[in-house]
Amino acid sequence: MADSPRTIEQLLATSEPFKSLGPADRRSLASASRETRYAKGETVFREGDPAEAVCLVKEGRVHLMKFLEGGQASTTCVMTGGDTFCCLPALDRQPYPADAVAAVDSVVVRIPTSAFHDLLQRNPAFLQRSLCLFCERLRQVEHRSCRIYDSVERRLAQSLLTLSKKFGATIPLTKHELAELSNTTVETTIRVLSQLKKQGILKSSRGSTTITKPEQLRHLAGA
Amino acid sequence: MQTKTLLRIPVFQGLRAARLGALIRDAETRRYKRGQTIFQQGERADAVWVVVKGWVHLVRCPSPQDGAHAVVLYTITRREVLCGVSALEPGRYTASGVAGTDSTVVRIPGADFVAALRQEPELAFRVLQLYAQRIRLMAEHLGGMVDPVPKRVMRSILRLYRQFGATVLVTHRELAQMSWTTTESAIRAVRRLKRRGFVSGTRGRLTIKQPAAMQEWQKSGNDHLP
Repeated sequence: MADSPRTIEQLLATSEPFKSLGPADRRSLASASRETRYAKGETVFREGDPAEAVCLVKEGRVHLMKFLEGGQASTTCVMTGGDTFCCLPALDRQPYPADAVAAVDSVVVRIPTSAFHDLLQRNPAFLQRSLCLFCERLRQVEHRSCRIYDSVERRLAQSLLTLSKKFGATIPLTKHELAELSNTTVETTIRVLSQLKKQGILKSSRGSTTITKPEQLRHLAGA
Repeated sequence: MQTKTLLRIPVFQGLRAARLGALIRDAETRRYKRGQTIFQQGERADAVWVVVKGWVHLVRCPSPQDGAHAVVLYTITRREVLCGVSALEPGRYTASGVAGTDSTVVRIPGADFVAALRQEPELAFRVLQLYAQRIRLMAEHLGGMVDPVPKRVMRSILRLYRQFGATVLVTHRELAQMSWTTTESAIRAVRRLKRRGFVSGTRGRLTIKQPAAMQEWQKSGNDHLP
């Protein structure tokens, strides 16, 4: 697909924190940005790479991941259409803090870090919106921090509930992906999902899980 | 006194003294002994707290009833400055602020701080940078959740070293909370580090003697303490 600033402009108009920009700033930002397609499994950027862009998912799904010694992978965030990620480097000028991998065929808009930084400095409304976004991200990270003590069942339930806010009742993640998000193994994930299936709380098929009893799942998650 | 003190803190530098004075007009200076709670997780978040002296641990419990599984999210010092950032959005404190040492803090009403953020873009930008720093460090910490306990304890000790220098006042319980493990596991890990000569210390005080060697071991990928 050829670069299409007008399409990027429309995407910016519906995504945080860019919603607060006026038409002129959005146009200018869109013309400085580029769309890139990634096939499923392709790396968008690696942890430690110089952070040249703030990214915005236009289509598809991108997972932010940490790869640990021993080969274990942990998914810290699932980004879908309209989600902005990796704004941190625009502020602290450090490298990317994690790997970003296309979980499905995806299109990602790359906004130059310098352009994002420039907007923060000269556009007060954009700065305020970014402050709210970062406040919310900080809360999410704080919330995740306590999960180390949770049982696997609770962690999986929490992951499913969080994902249902993005995807609705049917969550299109594989068991492998759910395991990475919940810091457990695939085998344990299969076992727990089978138990929840027997209890009628969810239905599970290849590549997706449907929550059928959300209230019971919330109870299990401790929400 | 408050104005001059606060102007020395990086996040407030650049603010005109008069503007800072307006910001802290209804502020109060409070002193807390080590271990005292400054604000409680779950309480209405109505103030932002500026650490002028000492350390404040941000401690989060999975639920108000589950104090045994508290984790230290972050430790605030005079450099990091701000606690209670939950007050910037209507709601409740998402963690408790607990004095890690005898501390002096300035309590600024949340509404006043929010108004200042709207009026002073430079202040807002610096607070945003603080958020970014905190998110990055916490995300790194989260990424290490699956590491073995000795590695997590060593990481916490190195973080304390970077923040406070070679001698830090920290109990085993605090170290356990920072490393997201039990006090017993933290005691075992510290004992082994002492035997190896990496650290020394007595009750509540740790001296980091070989930070370079500890950092080398952290990078080595070896899961077992030498």
